[in-house]
Amino acid sequence: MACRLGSGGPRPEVLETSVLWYTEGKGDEDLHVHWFRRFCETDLQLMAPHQALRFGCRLPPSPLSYDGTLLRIRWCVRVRLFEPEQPEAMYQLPFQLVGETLPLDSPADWTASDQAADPTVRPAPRPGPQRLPRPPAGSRV
Amino acid sequence: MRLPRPWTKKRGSRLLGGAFSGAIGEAMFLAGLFLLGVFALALALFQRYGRARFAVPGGLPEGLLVIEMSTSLLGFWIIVVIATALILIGGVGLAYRLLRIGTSDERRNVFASRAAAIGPTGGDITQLPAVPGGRGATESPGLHQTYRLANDGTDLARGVIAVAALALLWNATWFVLLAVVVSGFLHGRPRWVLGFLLIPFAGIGWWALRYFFDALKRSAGVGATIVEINDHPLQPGGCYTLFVRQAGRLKLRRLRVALVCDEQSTYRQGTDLQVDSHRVLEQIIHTERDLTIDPHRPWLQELQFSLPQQAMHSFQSANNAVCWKITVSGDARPWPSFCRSFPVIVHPPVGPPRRHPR
Repeated sequence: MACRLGSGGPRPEVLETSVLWYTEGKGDEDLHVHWFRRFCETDLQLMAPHQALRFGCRLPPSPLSYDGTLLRIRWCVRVRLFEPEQPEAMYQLPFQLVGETLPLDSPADWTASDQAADPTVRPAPRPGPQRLPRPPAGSRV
Repeated sequence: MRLPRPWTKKRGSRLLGGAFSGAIGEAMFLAGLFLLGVFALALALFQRYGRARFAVPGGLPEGLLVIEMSTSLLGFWIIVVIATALILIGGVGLAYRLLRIGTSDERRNVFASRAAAIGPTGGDITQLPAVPGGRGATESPGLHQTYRLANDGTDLARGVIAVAALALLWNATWFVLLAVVVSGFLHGRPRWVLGFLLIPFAGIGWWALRYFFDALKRSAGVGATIVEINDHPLQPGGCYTLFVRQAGRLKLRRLRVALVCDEQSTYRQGTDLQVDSHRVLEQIIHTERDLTIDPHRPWLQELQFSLPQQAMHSFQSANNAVCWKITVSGDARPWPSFCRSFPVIVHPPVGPPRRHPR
């Protein structure tokens, strides 16, 4: 996974990236963050203006993406930007986690760690990243 | 601008007003509680110790001072307890509210996950995320198959115990009251009102006893149900052998064994907590009509079934669940119908190495 910051606006103070699943449907929402990384201002200042911020994690075998009647389980990559004197902005890229019959070497394989992305991930049918609140001027992922 | 309408029913977790004004209002309320607590505590301390200090040199009579202090002691401690509670509720709530302002949902979730991992079960990495462990299902080996599945606890025996407690307590009370009435007649002071009240009370007692005996017959007639399976947890696409034994003294119009998958959701509706369930799949494994079971000849059956290839795995989170179970249900005669559930766990296609007891 990679995200790139635009050069038109102020550089964010903090950038949070997370890989998470959440539930939708009739029940109250459940959310679990599988992988999380927070980039502070000093980390972001070391980056070149158009340099992509690359990150990856190994996904767990469960819960798989699910589309039921009362319940839907969604996986997504979420990027949250905290900019000075701006409301925080959130971008979300949904994907589907599907199961495949793969042998496991050890039970610890699915613990979150900075690795290459798992091949069992398929992009979600919904195209493109979703931007949920009002976008702050000059920043883009 | 939408004016807040506090008299309307709040539905779910949706907000009636703006999130910002809600946060400010909540923070103001909690800060008010904290300050009120501080004020009440300070006032109580000052009233007690400040007045005592001024009262002693004033030369009041010794007996009067002791009486005044002892009568105000209870009130003082009540105020101290209430003020401390207000300070705690206000202070902790305000701190929690302020922490939420500067932190994203994801970051808080990570903190909570790390805190949960510190506990004694934190090192259990063989557990699949969001899949229930189902250890209880594999703790008991079976006689005919590898595992004997545990009932989900909705046993008739619980209902019988509750009904028995009601019937016995009610009738015991009735007999005590009867003894009071009889002793009144014997001592020449009849209690007519109590005596007349005993008549409707006796009717309730008779109804409770009948209900108890009906429940007892139902429980005794429908004997134990035993379900054993050759492998657990289950995998989508897998084929499994099931052994079912139904005991009791029964005449059944129909006995059915099924594999069932339910979605369960918990949600708040106003101040109520609602649980909704939806049956995603009901796969009939076996149906048999018009059979008779007696205590010496229980119904035994070995059945085969396979799980659908695209089946969703078992899922459990705080408010949502996908539950799989084997159900054994019967339309009994003359007893009412019964249905017993035996939860099973379905793993996603990738799973940890399995433990086999044999």
